[in-house]
Formats: sequence, structure tokens, C-alpha cells
Amino acid sequence: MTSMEKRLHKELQLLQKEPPHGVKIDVESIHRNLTEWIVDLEGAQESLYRGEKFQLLFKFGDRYPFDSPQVMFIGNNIPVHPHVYSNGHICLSILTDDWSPALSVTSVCLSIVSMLSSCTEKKRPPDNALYVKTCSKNPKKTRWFYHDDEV
Amino acid sequence: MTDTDLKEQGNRLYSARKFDDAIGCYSKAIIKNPYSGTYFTNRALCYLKLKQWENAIQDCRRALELDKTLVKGHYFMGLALTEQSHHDEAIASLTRANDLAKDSKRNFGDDITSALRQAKRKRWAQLEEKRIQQEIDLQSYLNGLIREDIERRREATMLKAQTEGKSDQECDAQIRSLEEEQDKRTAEVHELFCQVDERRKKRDVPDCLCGRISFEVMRDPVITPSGITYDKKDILEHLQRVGHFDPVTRTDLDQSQLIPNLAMKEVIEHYLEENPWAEEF
Repeated sequence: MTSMEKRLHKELQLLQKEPPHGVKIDVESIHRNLTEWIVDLEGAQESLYRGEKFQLLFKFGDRYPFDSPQVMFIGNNIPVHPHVYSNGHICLSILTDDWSPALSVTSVCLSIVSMLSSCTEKKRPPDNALYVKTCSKNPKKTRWFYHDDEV
Repeated sequence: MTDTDLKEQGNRLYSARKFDDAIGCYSKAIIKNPYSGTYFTNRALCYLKLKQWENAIQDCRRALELDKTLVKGHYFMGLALTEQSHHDEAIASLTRANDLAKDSKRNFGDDITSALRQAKRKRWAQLEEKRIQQEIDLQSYLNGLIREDIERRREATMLKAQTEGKSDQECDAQIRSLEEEQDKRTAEVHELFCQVDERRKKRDVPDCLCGRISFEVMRDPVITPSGITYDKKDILEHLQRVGHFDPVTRTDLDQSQLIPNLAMKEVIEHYLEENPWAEEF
């Protein structure tokens, strides 16, 4: 097993044992392919997304955890949020520039839940139409500008 | 050729992975000079590469008869014994090699300690397998006792019913309750053994002994100025690939600021000593 696989196994065990509130993983699907995880997220009770269910796709490269994973929303329900584009891409600094190998699937999920929770108005990013037309399939290829830390 | 020449030639052949030919050279060197332990340990290493464990052990023995402080003699012997599943002897040899290497301050890197760890882990796995087998045997034995007991009481009940002239209905009811008792007792025993199994599955290394990057037991813990401890190879890789900051606190960090965390290292070694299963964690 490579150190990347070992670490992913370990994370999987931890997530199964103590899943954070509103986060669920499909263990069966992961056992087939350790490098792509689908995580079910639930909008927090006291947020605008209460009762909504979302799916996140994690893709891990060979250099994980030294490289950040690719993370995006998939499925029919992409949250309407100023930092989430309608193609599922997320503008969140820890996923690119501010990534640290001490972060994990769990901590990324919690950051995304909290990003959703702090939202006060459901709307798409202002440049959504243009971005979705021109961006790469891989959100990590986008040069994000983290101009706005409020939401 | 002198015996030293033959040894040199053997070493060259060994480096070229021509182990059989190297063995030939060392054997000739031994004939010319049977009093050098090194020739034997060198030949033992060739036998190890060829997976001829018994020959390797024999050469180590002869080397150690000539000089019982030969680190390589004990070390190679330990490796061969581990392969032969003689774990107790292997651990004794490797421990001796480790002590001697420390005393002579010669640097064998992590080789001896990691061989020692592996031998301990294998011994533990062997014992664990034995324990599991014993538990299975015990469970079958207990189930057998329950079955025999119920059978005996069933026969007694039937006999009593006959002599006392009880009705078939009454007798059937008693037998049914006996059968229920058997099922209940068997289930209880099963439950008990399941709990042991469950505890086995739940084995977990405390988070504080695991690196914050690999999530595994740390081998070479180093501490940063922020007070966070990482496994050395991981934090070095982070500094090289990701950036010059502490992964947890995100404060600036440079390789020169890393300090070996010896207390943590001792704690981990102590923990692994008592929990050999954690080696493969």
C-alpha cells in the first residue's frame, strides 16, 4: 500500500467510526475505488439549506495529502450559494492555495457545511454564467480570487 | 589469490547480484583462512538473498563462534530465523544485534530496529492466531457440553415420565423447555465470544501517537516551534512540496527549526512494545 492509500484507509475508518453531523459516506463505492469518494452532505438545521441534501465528489491524486483533493458538488442538487458555481465548482481557499496536509476529508466537509451555514442570501456567484462556460473540468485548474471572506 | 582477494571478488559478485558465484569465492576464502567471521557473515548474506535460511543460520553460527560480537552475525541470523517462523529466537538475535550496534556506535540506520519490529509483529500475529484457534476450540467444547447436558436431562425426563405415567403432553412441554434452554445457553456462549472478537476489531492506536499528516504511528517524531509533533519524513515532504509553514498552525516553519521529540519517541516505543499489533497500523 502506498502512503496515500494508507492515509485514505485511515480517514475512511475514522469517518465511519465518528462521522461528523450531516456527513455520510458510501463505503461500498469507496471500497471499489479508493481514489474517488462520494460524500453525502446535509444542510445544517439553522441554515438556509435546512433539509437539503447534497453530494460532494472527492478525487485524490497520488500526492495526497501533500496535494489537495479535487472537490466539487455533483448530482441534481447543487447548492445555490455565492461561492458555488452551477457546475458544482466551489470557490474555497483551503481547496487550493490554503491547503495543508493536516486537513482531511472530514475537515473539508465541515468547512463546506459551515460555508453554507454562514450564507445569508441564496444566490449564484456574479460571474457564474461566464465561468461555467469557460472553466476547466478540474476546479483546481481555476485561478481563484478569494476576494470575499464574509460568506 | 589470497583470502582477502577472494573476499573482495566475492563482494563484487554480490554487488552484481551473482550470489551463487559470490558464495563460491567466500567458500574459497574460508578454506584459505577459516578464522575470519566476516567471510562467514558475507556468505550468510548471500544465502539470505537466495532464501537458503538454514545455510544462512549455519554460517552465522560459525561466524559468532569466531567472534560473538559480530553485529552482522546476529542480525542475519535474526532475519533467517524470522523467515523460518522461529520468532522468539529471532527476537533474541535481533535484540543482541541492536544492542551491539548501539554499543559500537556503528550506524546500521533503521535496518536492525525495523527487522526487530517486524519479528515482534510476526510473533504477535502467530500468538494471536493461536489464541483465536483456542477460543474457537473452547466455544465448540462448551457447546458440546451444553448439548450433552440437555440430552442427558431429556432422557431422564422421558424415563421419569414413563415410570410415573405422565401424559405425553406434559412430557413434550418439558422437552420443549429443555430445547429452549439449550438454544438460549448456546446463544449466550456465542454472544460472549463475539464480544471478545469485537474487542479485537476495535483495537485502535491513540490519535496522539499518530502523525498529523500520515495518520499512522510516528517512527521519527519531530516537534515544531508551535508545539505540534509530526513524523519527520512527512513534515520534510510537506516543507518541500507544499510550503514553509506548520501544517496545523500555519505559522512560518523551516526545516532547521525541527527538533527530535525524544519523549514522544520513547512513549511510542513503549506503546509498541506492549501492543505489537499496532506495528502494521
